[in-house]
Amino acid sequence: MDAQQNTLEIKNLTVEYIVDNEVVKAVTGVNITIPAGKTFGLVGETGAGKTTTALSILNLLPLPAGRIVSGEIFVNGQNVFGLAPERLREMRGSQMAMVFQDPMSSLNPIKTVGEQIAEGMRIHRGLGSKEALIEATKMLEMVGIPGSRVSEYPHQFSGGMKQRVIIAIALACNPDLLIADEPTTALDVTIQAQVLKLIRALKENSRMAMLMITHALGIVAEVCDFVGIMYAGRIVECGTLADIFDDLHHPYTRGLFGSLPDIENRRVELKPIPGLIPDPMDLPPGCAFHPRCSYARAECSRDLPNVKWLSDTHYISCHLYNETSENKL
Amino acid sequence: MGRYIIRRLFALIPVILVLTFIVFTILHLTPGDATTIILGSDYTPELGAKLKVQLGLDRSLPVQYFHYLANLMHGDFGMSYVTRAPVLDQLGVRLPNTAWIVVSAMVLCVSLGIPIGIRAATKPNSVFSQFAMVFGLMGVSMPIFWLGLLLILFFSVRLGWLPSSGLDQGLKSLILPSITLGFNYMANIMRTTRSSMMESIRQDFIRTARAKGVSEHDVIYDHALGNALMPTITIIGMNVGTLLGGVVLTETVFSIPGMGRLLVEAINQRDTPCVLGTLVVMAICVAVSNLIVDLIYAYMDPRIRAQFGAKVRKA
Repeated sequence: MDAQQNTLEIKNLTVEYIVDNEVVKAVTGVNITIPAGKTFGLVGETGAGKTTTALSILNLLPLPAGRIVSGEIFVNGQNVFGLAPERLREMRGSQMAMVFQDPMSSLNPIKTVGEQIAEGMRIHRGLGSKEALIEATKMLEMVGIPGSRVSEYPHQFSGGMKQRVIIAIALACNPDLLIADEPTTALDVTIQAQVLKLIRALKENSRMAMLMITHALGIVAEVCDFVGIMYAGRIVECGTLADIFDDLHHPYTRGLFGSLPDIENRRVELKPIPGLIPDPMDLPPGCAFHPRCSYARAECSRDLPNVKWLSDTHYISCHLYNETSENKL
Repeated sequence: MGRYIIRRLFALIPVILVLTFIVFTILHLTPGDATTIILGSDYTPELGAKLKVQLGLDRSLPVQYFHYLANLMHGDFGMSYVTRAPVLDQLGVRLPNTAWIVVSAMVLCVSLGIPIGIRAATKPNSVFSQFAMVFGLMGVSMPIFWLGLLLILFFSVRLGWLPSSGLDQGLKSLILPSITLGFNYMANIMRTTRSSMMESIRQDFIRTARAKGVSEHDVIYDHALGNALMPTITIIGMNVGTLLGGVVLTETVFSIPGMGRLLVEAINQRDTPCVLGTLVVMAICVAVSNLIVDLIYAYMDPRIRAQFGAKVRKA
């Protein structure tokens, strides 16, 4: 696809962390493309490399540990890694923005929420302090918080409200790309629903592309157009929402669905995936999932599976489908 | 806020009670009293007894103590046994000299310690940072009197640039005493700023700021510093007491007629009213500076401000 059409293109991204002189492979060969107005759900267990992928887009990996080994990331056709720091700073907040995972620690405790929302507007939209604060008040109301609370401090807000403030900060300059890193994980269910509703409303009213990082398949079903399943730093299966939810092929994807309770048939026992996600410092050879995979064969522990396209939108990376595209699960 | 300040000032009363009681008792228990020191070689039991009556030392210790307290409550610090002049007058002469050294040491330390700490935190692997850490370690481990002597030896004796004693050459004569007094203080400020800055820079909200497109300068000096300064302010305030202790040594090394030297002289002469007066003033200084620190806290951190009972808007 043409780079101009897509808001985000991640090409063959590989990221490592150097921790105590050991190399941790956080992300390996990830490709993600999001057209304008679409939402891509990146799903995986904790430690799969989702947040690292997200931070790479803003080029905000923790330094000096994080290192981009290879790959390119284009936002609105601009290569993020090739930009001068000053240009990159201009893009952050205005063209791409991020909603962070932990609302409790992601707000500056000594600045009012209004100041924190207005800051980006002052930087990117050239607004004066007063105008920016008025705009910030509108923003706050848009995320469902009374505008009168604009001059309060983060400690005066509940967790769900803080998360809304963080969303308001991210949306302050109408970004073309919104990265939402587990925006509901730290919230309780009722608040989760409110935040999701807000995100869905935003999606409908704008051409904003969104990268939604989550480990909850329910959220994916509600807001995403495309889904990528991530395991140990690689995308193992990727496709449209229908591809993944109705025609999943990868045993890991199957396992994720098996871990969900079935509300209609409560007698069915959960089938959690046995074992734990591997230590990224010491990934198993071959397919990283093979020690936990009930379909594992000899080559799984030997060779990396190739990417196989099942349709124009749906690809998997699994040895089960070396000879066939027929669903084996 | 006003009520809080008044409450804090009232809390000074028990501090002063305990302080005066301890000093009174200790000075009473030390061998010898003012009469023997004042009379010296003229000492005869008759003269001694007469002087004791004059000074009020013939009364029992509790009576002396309560008498002193009663006068203190009226703002009367009593008469020096030795000079027979009001203690308050002596303090009035000595206090400005001490204030000059302490204030210039504080200004010097804060204006150098904080920037050095920030720089060392933002570039933790640089040569500058390593140098700052060695400097800081020297600062916290070098005794004042030794540093003072070294500085005098080098800048006054060898180079002849700066005076070695007194305060009669204006700012020039403040340089060496304030460096001597403040070196340890500055090292503490620097080290605290460095570590709290490093902590602050790692926080999630710094990442939020960067993701907003805030410039690196504003990330450091606006977002990170505002949060990192709390521990530094604590150190600045808490160490005012240490600084006043250091004044005793600094004034001795540089022969400066300040409160520190007054205190030493008064102790040597068993001049109880003078010792007490000096210590009470110092205690008030420490308490007030701690109060100021708490007020700065409240000014800087909205969470603490809320605890002070400032207006909190309702949802």
